[in-house]
Amino acid sequence: MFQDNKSNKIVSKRLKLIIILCSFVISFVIAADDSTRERKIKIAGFGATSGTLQSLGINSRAVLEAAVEQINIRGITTGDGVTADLDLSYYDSACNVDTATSVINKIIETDAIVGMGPTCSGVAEVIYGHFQKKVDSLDDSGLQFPILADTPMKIGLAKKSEWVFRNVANEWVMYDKLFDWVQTKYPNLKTYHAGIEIDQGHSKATWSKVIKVHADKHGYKQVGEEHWSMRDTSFSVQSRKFSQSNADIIIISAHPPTTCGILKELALQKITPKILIGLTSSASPETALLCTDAAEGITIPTSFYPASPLARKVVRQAALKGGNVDLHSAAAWENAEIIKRIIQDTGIIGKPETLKEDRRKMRDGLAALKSTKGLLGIIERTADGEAMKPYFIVQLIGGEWSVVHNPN
Amino acid sequence: MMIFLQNCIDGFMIGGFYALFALGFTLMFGVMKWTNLAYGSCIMLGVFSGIWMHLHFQLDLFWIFFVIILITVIAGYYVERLCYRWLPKKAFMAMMVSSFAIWMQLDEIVRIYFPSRSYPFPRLMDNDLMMIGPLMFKAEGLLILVICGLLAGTIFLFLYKTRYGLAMRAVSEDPVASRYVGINMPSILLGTSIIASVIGGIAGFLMATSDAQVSTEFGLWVTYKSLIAMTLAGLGSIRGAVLGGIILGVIEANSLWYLGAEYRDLVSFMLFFIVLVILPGGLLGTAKEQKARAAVRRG
Repeated sequence: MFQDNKSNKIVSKRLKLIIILCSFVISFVIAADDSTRERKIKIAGFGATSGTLQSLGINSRAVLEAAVEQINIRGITTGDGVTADLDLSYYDSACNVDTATSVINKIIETDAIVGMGPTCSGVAEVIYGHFQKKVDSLDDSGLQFPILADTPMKIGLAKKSEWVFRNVANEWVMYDKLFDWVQTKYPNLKTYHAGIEIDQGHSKATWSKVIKVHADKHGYKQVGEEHWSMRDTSFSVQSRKFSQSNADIIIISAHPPTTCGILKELALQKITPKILIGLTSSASPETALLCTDAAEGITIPTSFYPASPLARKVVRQAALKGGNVDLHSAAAWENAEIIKRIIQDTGIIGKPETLKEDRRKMRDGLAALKSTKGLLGIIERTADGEAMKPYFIVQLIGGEWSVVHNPN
Repeated sequence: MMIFLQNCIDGFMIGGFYALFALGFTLMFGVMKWTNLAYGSCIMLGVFSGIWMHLHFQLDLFWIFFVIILITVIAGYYVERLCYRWLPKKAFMAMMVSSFAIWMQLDEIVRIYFPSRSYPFPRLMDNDLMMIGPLMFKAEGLLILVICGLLAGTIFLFLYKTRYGLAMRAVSEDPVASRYVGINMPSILLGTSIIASVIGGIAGFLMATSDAQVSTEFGLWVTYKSLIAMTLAGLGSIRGAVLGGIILGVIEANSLWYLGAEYRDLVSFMLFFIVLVILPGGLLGTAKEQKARAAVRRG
């Protein structure tokens, strides 16, 4: 008995020694692995992390940081065979053209090989105009720096320059398919009445250039159009006009705060259209939180829904960084993956002395992409630098977004 | 005609809020001769503090109300110290501009700690519609109008029936003479600032609970609506603030219906401008006030 105890103690001591040694070895390997990542490939993000639309920039930054962290676990193989880390710097460009212009100028002075931003379509529209329109054009001294945008939604922004690429949802296709679905699901609808937040570039442009065009194309007759601004708090006048027209479809092209404002007023005045259609940006947790009951049944096409295990993982990782994932910020994760792929495919080196060539390789790599892997499936790339992302048609039911149509 | 009447009713409902906010604004202007541009931001800070307490400690509305009042008063005190008390009394421009700087500062504080665009706020009551014939009234809107009337009445009585109110009016009329007759100026000025903040806190709470959500644009909205409402009917006048709020609400509702949202603010600001040019003392200003303010305007 005594002998057994003694041998047990010896075994136990040896086991402890082995565990301690193993711990040392693992720590050493991890530390050694870190020390091999001396090569840092700089990338820059920029968006509105202050001001009215700061939540969009904060979400993009959080998702981007989470994506870079995941990529850096394995590292990226550079053109000269070195395993490198991505080194992200994120800049606040507010939602302001002057700030964004100075941020872009600052980023170009750094060793960043690519920039990702900005948040606001109105800002993007102006600053993308500063970039060289046609690559290698001798009489165009515009900025020569690749941009891969995640948030600005206004249609056709990537056409501004051959250095600009976007990975944003294609609202043109999504709303076309949404109205196809509405026609199938609700065959007897004839009229629509729209409400637009007119002081936001996205809501205003998406209404006039996308939603209205498709609604008309599908044979629906417009019976009214109401406007408000993003600071408005009272919607009783607009709601009475909705009530007066008694349209089959009510379309709200506005961001969550005023979408909820008008929907609460519609509910109060007991205005119940056959179907309620919203802006892509409103398919977010914010809408579900602000007006769970009033927004019941609102139908929106979206390019993000936590449908896949990867998408759910991104939601968790972003939450750890203090951000939410929606159709805008989800693209930031995909963008980081696209950048990783191009670095590896085009042999980007990531050294200060190769900066100019690396930026060019990044641009050419982005231009050459035919498709990329997204959170919800394969994203097709178009010749003009835009994306054709997989999408869903979702409806707010019982405070949760549910997929009502999956065309993928 | 019915549409016009309904627009007026809607205008009264939102005008009640404008009037409430303008009441605090006008009190400060009347007694302290100070255009406190940070007023809306102080209220917003109070409202967001209430939201924070609600989110973290699940406080019920009763306690949220007190938190909002308390923080609005503290913020008002902070602004009063920085932008009024420590500046020379004749430096009107410096007082106004410094309050603008504090406005921006408070707005940024709120945006830093509340990064989302908007936050839900618990409701005080279910907002029901009441129909009287073809006309529609909101229960909540009527409540706001009643509260506005009660607050305006209370302030009026306070100013005209109490010794403290008399002292406030004396300071408003002639600060130098008030000091000679032994009125404690710092106490009056501080008291005015606190009363204005309490009114602002009440208005902020009612607005937030009525909308059931608050955005970080709230401070700006309060400041420019109450500034117009206060100026329309009479700078520094209690009745003027209430009337100005209601007029602004009615004009907005009608211009929204007949002209559209694009013209609503254009019409309000045009009216604001016309009143300032033709009746510098506001719609309720006396002939003497109009003359005096017109003389100031001419320099």
